[in-house]
Amino acid sequence: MTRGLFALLLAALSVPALAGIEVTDARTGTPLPGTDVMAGYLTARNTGDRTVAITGASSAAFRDVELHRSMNNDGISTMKPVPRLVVPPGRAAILAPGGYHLMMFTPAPRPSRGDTLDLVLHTDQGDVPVSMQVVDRAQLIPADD
Amino acid sequence: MFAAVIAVAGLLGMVAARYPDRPGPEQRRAELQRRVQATVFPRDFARLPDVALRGRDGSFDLRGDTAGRWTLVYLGYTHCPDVCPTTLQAVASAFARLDRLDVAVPRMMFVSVDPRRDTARNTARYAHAFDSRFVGITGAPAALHRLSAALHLDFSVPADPANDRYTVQHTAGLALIDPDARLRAFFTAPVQPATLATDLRKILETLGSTRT
Repeated sequence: MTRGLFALLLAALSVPALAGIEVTDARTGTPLPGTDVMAGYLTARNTGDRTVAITGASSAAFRDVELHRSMNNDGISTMKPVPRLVVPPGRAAILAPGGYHLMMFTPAPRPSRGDTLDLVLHTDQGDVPVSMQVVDRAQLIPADD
Repeated sequence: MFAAVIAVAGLLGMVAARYPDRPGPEQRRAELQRRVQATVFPRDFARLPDVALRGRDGSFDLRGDTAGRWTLVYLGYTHCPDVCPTTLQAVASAFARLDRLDVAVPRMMFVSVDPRRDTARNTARYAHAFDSRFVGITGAPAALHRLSAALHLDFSVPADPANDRYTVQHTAGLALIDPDARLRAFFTAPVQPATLATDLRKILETLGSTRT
């Protein structure tokens, strides 16, 4: 009984200890005709007291998922893979249109609006499960007025 | 001879007297520039070259098919997951705002600079997914380079990519050409729907109405 309770307590403690990353607002747009790449966006807040590095992501819903960053160099748009995204305690990594994003290759099956996709965010301190909503593309860009 | 010069001068004087405060094109442009975030150019650029491109229905003649209308041009590629969809969605949202104000929208032309992966047909379908009025075109690399150079836009596609997942670099902003096929304005990235809608409305009102 005591041992069981101890194990339960350990299990309970180990959940928040999983990287201390809280993911919110995970979303992607409906796939576009003729393309097999999608961009995933989310906010990953570090609620722990240690710096966490996001090192990638994976999902059974895609052939591959990579962490990328779009950049604007003197008006020229370019995109590069990001090996590590460091999130200090109390701060958040914001993956949003035009910046950091998850580049998600070859969805299978092809998702529709309203679907939820399961992903795993990999960090140097463990994996973080992510439920990503498939939304209308107009909802991806922030209203600016 | 002298009489003719004096007569012309007199006529000009009468016109000037009749429209004492009518601003010239440069004054109008400068005044417009103060009211918009886009860069507005004088009517100094040469007309776009007559480049042969490909659209959904076959050949797309840049000059013929854009004549008589204001046209926004955006260079991109359909395998672009983030910036291209974000920009095209911003244009679609700006157009929806102009629709609500009953303001005629310009033509929107999405040009894929990645003909290795994009056919004219899939470029057109892709553009159409954002707004059924968007036109999607592509063409041979040489034609695309002539078009981008004429619009002072830039792009670069890897010459010999290792696989099909390469990235294309391209100007992130939008060019606006007038009904006479001259570059008249540039919208810097990131494009914001409300700003784009407001700027387009002011530019089209000031520099000429849309002729369809």
